[in-house]
Amino acid sequence: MDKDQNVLEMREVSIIYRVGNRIGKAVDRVSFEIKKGEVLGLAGESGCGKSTLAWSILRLLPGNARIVSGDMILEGKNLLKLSERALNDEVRGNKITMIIQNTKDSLNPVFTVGTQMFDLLRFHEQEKQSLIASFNFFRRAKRNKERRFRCIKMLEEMEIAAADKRFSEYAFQFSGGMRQRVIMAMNFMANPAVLIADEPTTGLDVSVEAYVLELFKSKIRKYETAVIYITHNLRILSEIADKVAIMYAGTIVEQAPVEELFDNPLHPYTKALIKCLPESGVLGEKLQEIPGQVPSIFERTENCKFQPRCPYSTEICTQAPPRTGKVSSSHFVLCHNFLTVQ
Amino acid sequence: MRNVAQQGHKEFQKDMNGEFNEYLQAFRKSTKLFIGTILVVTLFIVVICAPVMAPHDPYKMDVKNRLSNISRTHLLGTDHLGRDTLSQIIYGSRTSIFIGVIGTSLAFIIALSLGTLAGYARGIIENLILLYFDAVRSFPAIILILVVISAIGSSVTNIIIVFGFIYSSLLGRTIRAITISVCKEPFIEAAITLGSKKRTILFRHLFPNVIGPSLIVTGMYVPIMIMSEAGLSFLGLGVPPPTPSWGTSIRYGFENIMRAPWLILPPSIALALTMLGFNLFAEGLRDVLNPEKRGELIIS
Repeated sequence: MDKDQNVLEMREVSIIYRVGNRIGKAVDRVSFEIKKGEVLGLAGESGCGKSTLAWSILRLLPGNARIVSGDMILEGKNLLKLSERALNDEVRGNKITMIIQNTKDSLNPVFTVGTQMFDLLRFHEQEKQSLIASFNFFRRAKRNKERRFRCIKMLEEMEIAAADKRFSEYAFQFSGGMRQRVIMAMNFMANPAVLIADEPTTGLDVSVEAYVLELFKSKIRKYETAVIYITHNLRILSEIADKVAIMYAGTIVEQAPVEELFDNPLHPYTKALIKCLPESGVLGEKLQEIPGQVPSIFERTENCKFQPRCPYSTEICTQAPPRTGKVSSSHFVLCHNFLTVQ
Repeated sequence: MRNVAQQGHKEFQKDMNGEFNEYLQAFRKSTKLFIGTILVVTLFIVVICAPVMAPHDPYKMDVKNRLSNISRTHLLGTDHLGRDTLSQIIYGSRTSIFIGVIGTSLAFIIALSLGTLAGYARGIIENLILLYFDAVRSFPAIILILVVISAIGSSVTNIIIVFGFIYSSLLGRTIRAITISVCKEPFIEAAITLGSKKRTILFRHLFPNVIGPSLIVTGMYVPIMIMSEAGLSFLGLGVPPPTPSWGTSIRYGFENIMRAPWLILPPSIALALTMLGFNLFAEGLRDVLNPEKRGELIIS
């Protein structure tokens, strides 16, 4: 495939939740695209719809949620037009894999780590074969041996020491960081086109986190996987992402290449978020915070949702919905006053 | 490479030994588990070696020596038909354990399949299964057992089937609750994102994780069933008469309490010791299997 072609394209995706008789918009006309080997960072406070968006790509939203409009195009195919069955067979775990939140607990405690990796390969390489061929035990044993070897190789690639011994151990015998690396190994073994990582490094101490991130980055480069990296930690994104989209109350308020976003943030919310980073504070002073909180999904208006918390808001903010402003070919802002706010 | 692997294996064995020693120490220190184990093991030895241990044929009547006192030939006396009480109790243990173990297994199989299905499927299937569970649970167990047994007739097989079905609806609800909590575990979510089929999730991920905790709960039903069987036999609706059973023996003792007051004691003591054994065994195991309690036990 051409390197510049988009692997995944989201166009104006909206998702609603229905709670009782009330309907709330959790994701509002979100668009972005990812190229091969590119890392898109999705950042924002809790309750901004990041995880909802991630689960919607695999169409695994809870029963009271609906994708009401938009297109999700994966390698030229519209995911929303696929049947549930086709989606399960072709997309989940094949074209798109996901590292879920609480990564550390996503290994089954009653099977060895090796068994689970092995199962993944078997599931992946399922081929239709004749009944006679399926009784060819010699061939099967050979293939299983080869799969086992590949699992161990992958564990070694994720820098797990004594991988062949670790292969037959259980998840609880692994440390948190190691479990996360095993999950990453499994995800890369599936060789997906898009990898969704929903806060994969939560619950790790800083040094281990940096180490896991570095490893993750090198593997993304090696396998040229497109990654959607969801986090509320901007510091991580500055290290790993190529492109960052800042989400607020269901909309992407600013989208830009990572250096540009940190050097020249234009949306007031982005500015506020960057100011909140401990690194940008002054020693001895209180850390910055953004006053107020994200509006609940039932209280959202068509107008700028950040307006009540925005220090730069003007009259027009409460009167008309903001339009996407294009700063450069890759930098978009959703704000009325981004030119005057400096 | 091989050397490293061997070394790893040795270390692993050492670790295993260490863990085993820890269990052994805790086992020695836990009085509950010690007594419980002795009682349960003795019971099973009696069950297995009944023909060797029993001094007389439990079915052989000797009307001339009916209700005889404790003597050298009849260590615990004889009942109103002149049958040896000790032999009756020894053979009665077989009936009790058979009904307790097989009945619990049947209940476990039914409860596991229905409970896991209810916990995983949710919706209408869950409601139907729960309706069945609740319908059975809404009667006091002993009344329902009495009604069904008097309708279909009493035999060991019938008792096992009735116990299995009735107690499975108590057990099934617990297993459903365990299933629901396992369903919320991240590794199930992870399996869903990987595109696992429902069948795979149910059989490969749910079952093995539900069976462990369920077995512990199920273990408690063995003494309950033994007790129920004794109660049923005492009321005369349990195992049909020639088959020895503790409940029946207690009944004989109760009927002849004026003429031979010692007759009621041996089967009652056997029943009480069995209950005590199973309960102490379960409690002791719980202590020893819990890492925190185990530490306490070893230090004390």
